[in-house]
Amino acid sequence: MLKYIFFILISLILVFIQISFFGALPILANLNILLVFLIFINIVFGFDTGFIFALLIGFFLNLYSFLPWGTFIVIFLAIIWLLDFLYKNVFINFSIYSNLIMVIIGTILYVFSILLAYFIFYLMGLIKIYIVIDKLFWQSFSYQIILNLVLMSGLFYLAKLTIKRLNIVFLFKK
Amino acid sequence: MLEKKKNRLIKIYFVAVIILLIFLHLFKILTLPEKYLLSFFTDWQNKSISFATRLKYSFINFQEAQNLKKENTLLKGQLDQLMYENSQLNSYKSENEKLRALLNYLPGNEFDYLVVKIIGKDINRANTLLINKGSADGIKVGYPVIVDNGVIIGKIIEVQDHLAEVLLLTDKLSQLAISSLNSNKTSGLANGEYGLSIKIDLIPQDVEIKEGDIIITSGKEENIPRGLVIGKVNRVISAANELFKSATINPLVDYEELLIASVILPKKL
Repeated sequence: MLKYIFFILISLILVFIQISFFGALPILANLNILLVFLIFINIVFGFDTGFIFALLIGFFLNLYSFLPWGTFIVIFLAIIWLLDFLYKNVFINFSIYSNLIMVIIGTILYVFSILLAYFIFYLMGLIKIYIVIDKLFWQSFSYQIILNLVLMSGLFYLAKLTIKRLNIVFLFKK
Repeated sequence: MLEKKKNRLIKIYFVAVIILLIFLHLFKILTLPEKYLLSFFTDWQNKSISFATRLKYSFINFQEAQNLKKENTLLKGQLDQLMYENSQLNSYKSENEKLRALLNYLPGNEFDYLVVKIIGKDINRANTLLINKGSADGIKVGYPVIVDNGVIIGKIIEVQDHLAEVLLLTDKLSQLAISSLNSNKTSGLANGEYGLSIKIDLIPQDVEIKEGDIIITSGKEENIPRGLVIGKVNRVISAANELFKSATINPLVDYEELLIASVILPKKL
């Protein structure tokens, strides 16, 4: 029970940091710590834990969003489900490089899911504005991929120091 | 096997709770807890943005200090020029204050204002701000948002009960009817450009507009009074064979530094 309360607090703090801290910084505003964290949790701790975090983070993010409730939950769940499938069936060597590819795939999926969601809900009249695909969008998208990769690399190096089983990720011989 | 079953049950439990919370939200049963949750975090979010802004500028200031050392000699030579410009700016400031008093940017008793705190930005949209008040406080879509003494920064684009989103004027989808300080006619339409500046399109050729002109809201849009300052004209683009000319405006405030703003509300009769 305490574990799930901890999960709720972590999710809330991450959403808080994403919206109110990174949002105010130049360039770093493009970093998506929520997505990177979800992918990291999914890889290291498994789909079950990733599933719960996807629900919680999606729920709290919806508090600060104007998309219909449940949008972020559906998007995050779909992304971690697909990445988990790829991880178990395609990228089975568990190296840092395949995991970075997963971050790229996850970021692309997230950005285009959000773009599609905005367009569809705008056409349905549920929101007042959509995301414009212009030079700024592509610049922001590029920054997001680069920053997400940097963060994921950092997380893995930190985790390597603390979680022994992650040594396999770097294909190091013991 | 048991572990798998337990995990499945936990997942089902979480999904059920989330679906229940969504339904409670849709039927407005969770309004009060949401209000308390959001207001509990508002101060911390505002402080977080303030800290991030200070962090950003401390880094920028360090870099600038390094550059200034190299430019020291050049700056000393330009000191006289800067003193002359400073005296000019002081006279503009004095003129600006008199003009604001004349404009009376909340004309008559038609409008009131609501002070709001900026608590963050939309994770998926640049050029937006999230504020801590919503429809429960009387805010509606289309209401203008101002800072300082009547400088408009954007319009309300989305509203929930206790949260609203402001679309900044520098966003591509932002549109505002404007006029020049010297004219009572609507002179054009202000659109944002790449989150950096504002461009005025559809200025008739016969409307006089030049660099340095102060651009204000025309008052022709619903709920947006005349006289809210948008910025100063930076450049005018005009071709003789075109029906309209265009101009670019520099905003008077840095949209990255905002922590407090006001939403203009129509006064209840």
